Amino acid sequence: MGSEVNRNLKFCVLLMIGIIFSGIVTVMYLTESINLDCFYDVGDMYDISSSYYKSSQENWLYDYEKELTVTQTENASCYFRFDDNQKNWNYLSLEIKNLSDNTRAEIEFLGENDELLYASDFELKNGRTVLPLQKGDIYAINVIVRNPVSFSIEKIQFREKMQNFEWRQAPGVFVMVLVYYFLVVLLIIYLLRYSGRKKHLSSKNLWIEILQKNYICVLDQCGILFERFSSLRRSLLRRLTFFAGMVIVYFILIRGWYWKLLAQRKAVLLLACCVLLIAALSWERTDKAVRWKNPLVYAWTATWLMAIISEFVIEKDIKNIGIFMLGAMGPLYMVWGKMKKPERLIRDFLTALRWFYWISCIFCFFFRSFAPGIRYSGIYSNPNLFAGFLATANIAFLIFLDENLSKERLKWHILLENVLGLVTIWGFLRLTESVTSLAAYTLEWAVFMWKQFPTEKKTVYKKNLRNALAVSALSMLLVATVGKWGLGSVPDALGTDFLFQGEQIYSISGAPSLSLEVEAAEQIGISDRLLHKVTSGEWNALFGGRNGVWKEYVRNWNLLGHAGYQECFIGKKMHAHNALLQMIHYYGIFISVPYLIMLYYSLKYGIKIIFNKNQMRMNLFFLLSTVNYIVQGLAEDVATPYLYISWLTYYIALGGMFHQQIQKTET
Amino acid sequence: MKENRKLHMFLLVLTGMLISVMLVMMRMGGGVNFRDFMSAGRVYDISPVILQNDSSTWKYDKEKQGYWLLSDKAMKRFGLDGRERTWNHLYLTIKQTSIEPLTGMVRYYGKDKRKLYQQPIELYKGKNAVPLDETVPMAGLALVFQGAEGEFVSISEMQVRTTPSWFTIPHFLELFAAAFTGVMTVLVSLLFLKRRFFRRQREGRVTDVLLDSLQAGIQVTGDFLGERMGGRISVFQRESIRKLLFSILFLWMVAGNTAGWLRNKSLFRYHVLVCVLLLLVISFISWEKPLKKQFWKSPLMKSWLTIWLGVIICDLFVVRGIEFTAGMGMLLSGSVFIFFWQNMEQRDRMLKDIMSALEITFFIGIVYCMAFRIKKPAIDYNGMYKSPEELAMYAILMMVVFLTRMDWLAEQNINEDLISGQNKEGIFFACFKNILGGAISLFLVLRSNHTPGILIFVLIGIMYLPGIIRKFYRNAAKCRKLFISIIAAAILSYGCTYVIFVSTKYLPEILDLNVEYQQELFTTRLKGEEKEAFILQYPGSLHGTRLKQKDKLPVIWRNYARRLNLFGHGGSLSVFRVILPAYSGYLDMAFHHGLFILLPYAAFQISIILEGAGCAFHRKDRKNVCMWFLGISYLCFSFCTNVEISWGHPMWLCYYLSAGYLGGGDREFCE
Repeated sequence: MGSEVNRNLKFCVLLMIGIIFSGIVTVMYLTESINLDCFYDVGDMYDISSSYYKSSQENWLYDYEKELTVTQTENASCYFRFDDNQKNWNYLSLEIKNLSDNTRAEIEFLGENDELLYASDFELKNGRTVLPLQKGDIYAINVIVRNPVSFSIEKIQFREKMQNFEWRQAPGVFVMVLVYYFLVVLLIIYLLRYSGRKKHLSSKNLWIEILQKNYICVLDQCGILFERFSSLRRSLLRRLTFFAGMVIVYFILIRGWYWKLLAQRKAVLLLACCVLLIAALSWERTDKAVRWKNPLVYAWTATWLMAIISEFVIEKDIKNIGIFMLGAMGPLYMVWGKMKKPERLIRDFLTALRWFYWISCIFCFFFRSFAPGIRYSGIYSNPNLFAGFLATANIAFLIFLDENLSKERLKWHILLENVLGLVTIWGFLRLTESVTSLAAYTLEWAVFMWKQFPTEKKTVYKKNLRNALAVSALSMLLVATVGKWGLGSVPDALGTDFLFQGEQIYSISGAPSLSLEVEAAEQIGISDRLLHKVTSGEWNALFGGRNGVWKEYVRNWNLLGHAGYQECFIGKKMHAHNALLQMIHYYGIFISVPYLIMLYYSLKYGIKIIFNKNQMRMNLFFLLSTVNYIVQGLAEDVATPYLYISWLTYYIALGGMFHQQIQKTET
Repeated sequence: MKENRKLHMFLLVLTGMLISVMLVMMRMGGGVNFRDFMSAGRVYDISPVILQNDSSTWKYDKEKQGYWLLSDKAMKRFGLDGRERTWNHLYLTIKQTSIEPLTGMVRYYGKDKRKLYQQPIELYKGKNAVPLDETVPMAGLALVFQGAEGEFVSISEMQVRTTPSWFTIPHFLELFAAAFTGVMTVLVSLLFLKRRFFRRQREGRVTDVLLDSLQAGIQVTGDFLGERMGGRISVFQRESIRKLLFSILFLWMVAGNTAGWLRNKSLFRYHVLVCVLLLLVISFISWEKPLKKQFWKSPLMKSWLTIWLGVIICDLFVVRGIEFTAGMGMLLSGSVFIFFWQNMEQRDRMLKDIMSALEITFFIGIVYCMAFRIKKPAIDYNGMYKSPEELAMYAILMMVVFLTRMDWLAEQNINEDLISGQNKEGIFFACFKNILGGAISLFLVLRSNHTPGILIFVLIGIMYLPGIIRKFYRNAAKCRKLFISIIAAAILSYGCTYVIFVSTKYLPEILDLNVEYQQELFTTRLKGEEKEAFILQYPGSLHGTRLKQKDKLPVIWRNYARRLNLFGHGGSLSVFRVILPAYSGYLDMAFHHGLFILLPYAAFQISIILEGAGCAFHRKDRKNVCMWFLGISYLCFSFCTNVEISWGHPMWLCYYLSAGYLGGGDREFCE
């Protein structure tokens, strides 16, 4: 069985590498450029946002139902002014579809003060039209269509180089390369088998044992320092250290330390010290055998080794993550396996998380007022970041609730604290209106519900559940009245309300002005926002403009990664809004293989732990952390190291899953 | 243990001194400033060479070391740091003057040499402080003396700055004495209190834990990789591979140095990576048996580790270029190498391999110099390096190697009945190789014209000769054949050295193979009229050469000392409008890694010399003069040479790796 799993995994890895390799070769073939620093080397590009041309101007109407642009009179024109920093381009590419009748058109290229620089006359036709541009900075264009026609504009793009290929060539090349790739792989496998080396190579995986031994040696030494500490003292110290770690992570983001080299180094060192301190505090010299021979560990090690290599070649804005993971997180993962009761570590982490959440609540209550029509940012400068934190904090309360619902003597204050936590999180989440975090939050609840099925028929459980529901009704009342009033009034009344440095105000979507937003705030909620996104039928609206960012990131894929965020749209650097794309952007295309395997196996082991016979308490932690990380990672950045509590939570949880396989093999 | 106590006492005194220096500098700077103890602001020192140049109305007298003023309105212009900006103070030290006071003007000039402003001055013998107009930015200034025709004035120092200078040597010493007394009293009291009230905890000390963790990590990985690499080859193979790898490593370092990779941040990473990998492979190749923990609590090992940890930690407080990479590389690969070396049954084997590799690369280097590196007239020879001082360092290192070889040869010859299998016919060739090597080393040191190098050569020669003479004298009968071989080899070596002398002078030009490096430093001693006469004779031959920094050294040192702080700086300072290194190992270390790095640095130097002397005189299992001489020569170079060439010079590497030979020992036994 084990070897079959290995064989499948190996095949998957080979397939993924094959797909990536074929993709690279295909784009290089199409662009006729071998450039490992940017596979899709077609020069700089600037796409004029579709919101410009899918709008109406004088005599130039956009039919939203038919998705067509209609020019009603002769010489109807549409004016676009663009925001990109680069103004000097060589080509303009225009793609048209569904043109009703042939006509001529003209594009006027305008200068900084809308003065006419020159004009290009051309035949408007279906498909792509490429216009060579003259030298000079262009700030705006004016498209004039000579006759009344209807058409759909697919793309208006300024380019540095001309696109001299068609994408329809791509599948053929891709398949061909993939076939060749597999032929070569088969040949190598055959040769290895023939020479008998394969057997020799696969018989030992000693390096992982050496890695383990290294960690054990270091922990054995460091553990001496805390040998005399009682378990209570250890637990308290662990909680405080976890809390300190979270505070560091929070400050790295909110104080912008990740842009300041020295501050970042110090913060990362402090964080690493915290993690190592926790590892040393939790180290137990037990006889428990720890074997890390599973794909999750391999993928984790490969990911961060690749990160180290990438960092060595390309100096990163955010540094030392590979060393941090292998040097600080590694020992902590080792500790998981050696602990007699690993749930203590989870309990302490979640307690620290709850402390952090409650302090955040107090901070919000006194310093961060809520205004109608504006998405609430809480302890962060961005509502999505705050929502991400809320979804992560939700894990802590859900797990404690899960643990306590089956208890015979459930203490009221515990129940109240957890239920109040859950209710306030929902309250805050509604105010942030973040769809991605809402999805993560919903899935967390779904996992929680699913976990409840085996215990639902127990009497104690039913009784506790009833109590919980009663307390939650009371909490909701409290949050909806006192909480909402306090959040809107207390900071203003005390005069303590403030904005973070560089904080932007995010209004709720839809309405064009803030006054309308405020007016509509009572009617528009997160559900309306979601509905608007889904029913708009526009990718741009659905993903909130993220598809443009993703496109920019995909265009810049390369072998060994980049230093920092990619410049998108108006020359502004922004994160990828997707964990996988972010990882690829930082550490190169091939990191996607171990990273995806790591995500897959953390999800798989997270589920397995729940069904494990040797049930660890609080085992829901692993699955919930993974789900939270993956779902948030679909449309937000959780991959940039050191910045997010979600990131920290996932990588702390990962260590517990390293040893899941061992328990299984032992049993 | 007694030695340790003495060393600890020394360290305590040194700590007191460093703290006192810091306090005194802060006092002079007028405030607590850990980023710049002196809070010196902007300072520009006029080069001593400029203070010896003539102008139309100032005539420099070499003998009297001053100027004769030739006109009633004698003027000399001085350029400043190349930018037009304001200065607040002018300091002039007048060594000698024929009239007092000297009256005149200070004129301010803009970038286009336009006169902007002038102010009257009166100068007296000694240090003069002239307040400048803070509102007028200037790119240069001029001193104009009025009514002083035929008078004499000697200016020894001239400096402009934005903050006042309170530094004079007596003032500094006064403050230092007071501070030192106070600091030492506090330190001794603290030490006393610690001993009185805090019992030493034997187990679980943070230092022990760190050392143990480091060793445990190396042990686990080292045993795993060592068994698979060194464990599968014979002793002979191991030695051959080691020699080969060390040769590659030394050549790679020299290549990196000459190619300028040491100054390029992105290339330096790759350069160090290759060095680190080579050193690690050498370590794993040298695995003989399962590794044992070593005694690393000796001052030598502690200071070694503290140096490199200090270098790395400074990076948390200062943004620097290459220092972190260099430190990290050494800590990572150096500690592994040292641990492996200390675990070897016979440490001499590794030493011999290193020496063999040095010899191989040395002779390759000589052939390269003969074919590609010409000796230009009146310009100091750089050999295979980029500057004469690097060549001098290399020559001294090689001299130490060859002297050690000769010492061993004499020792073997004396104890020949004890050594079986001694190849008597090989004695002559061994003698010839060593004497030729020594002769070439001497030749290179002299060619480099580097005064400290020559002095160190003489010093080591003086220290070496009595010992070897005594050996020969006491065992005259046994050494007869060796003595004859030495004389024959010396005659032959003289001839060979002459060939090298002639070759380096003409061969590269004849073959048209002469190679010059980018940013190579050509120095000459010629200046003034001598230089002009030489240029007339060989036009263009001194193009791009720099006058030797001998006269400028005190100013350069002062500039570096002025900038000392707690956690160091990145890069080098601009002195006389040129980026110049510190020309001192101590100042270089203190400038780049903070003042307190000097504590482990000095401790390491002293430990090496003490341990090396132990090897030279007391130890029977590891008897050689190599480490002692290496320690002494490095210490001497540290005073006035850019000796800290991280991963760019074999001497640097050999020096820091020598801890592997001298330190350690079975931990259980030592404890």
